[in-house]
Amino acid sequence: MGELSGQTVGALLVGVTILLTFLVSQTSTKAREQRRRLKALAKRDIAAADWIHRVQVWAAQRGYTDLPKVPAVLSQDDEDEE
Amino acid sequence: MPTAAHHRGRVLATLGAAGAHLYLAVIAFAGLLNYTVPTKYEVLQQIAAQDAWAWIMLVCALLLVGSLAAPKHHVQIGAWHSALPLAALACNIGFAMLTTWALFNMLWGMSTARPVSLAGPGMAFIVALGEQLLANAWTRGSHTKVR
Repeated sequence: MGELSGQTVGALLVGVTILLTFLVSQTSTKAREQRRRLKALAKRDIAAADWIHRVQVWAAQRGYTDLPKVPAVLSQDDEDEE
Repeated sequence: MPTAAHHRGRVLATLGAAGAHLYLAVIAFAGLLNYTVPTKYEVLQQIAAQDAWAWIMLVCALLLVGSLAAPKHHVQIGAWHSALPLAALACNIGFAMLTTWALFNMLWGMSTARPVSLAGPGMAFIVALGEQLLANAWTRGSHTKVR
């Protein structure tokens, strides 16, 4: 097997570096968006829980204690998906 | 909430990044990108002498400008579906190209026989960082369109 020329080694080094840097860059962008999505979901769930609690307090003050059960905001399927 | 002003800002920044790539391509085609001071690492000289740099930078500039035709379009090739919009992918590719060029330029600059300015790779790293932030900006909120 013959030796690789300097040009070939250089081209290989550049190619591998570009590929690795692209993968890091793309993964970083995707991870950032994923964090943003999870943050938005958590914010939505906290806001929903807050409103449900307010309604329950308001109803309890008026003697309505037999309200229907509150559905889970995050289902098991959602958690599996994450 | 993204506004028209945000969109305009992203378009202008993408055009600016494309301009940086085009500038490097032009000076590479003019033969001004070659390293003039010898280094003790032969492979760095070989990398610098590659004609590919001019073409790489030119393709990058065209890719960035071309992506502005449909910046929020998600590429689909066969079964593969890109999670990132087109403009963000172009910025990621630009980041990779520019960082690689700056990295080898910096390695050369630190191993030359006499001290040389590292302003070139320094500026390139800053532009590359801007491209990464731009990729994040183009991706921002894209999940709401996909889901």
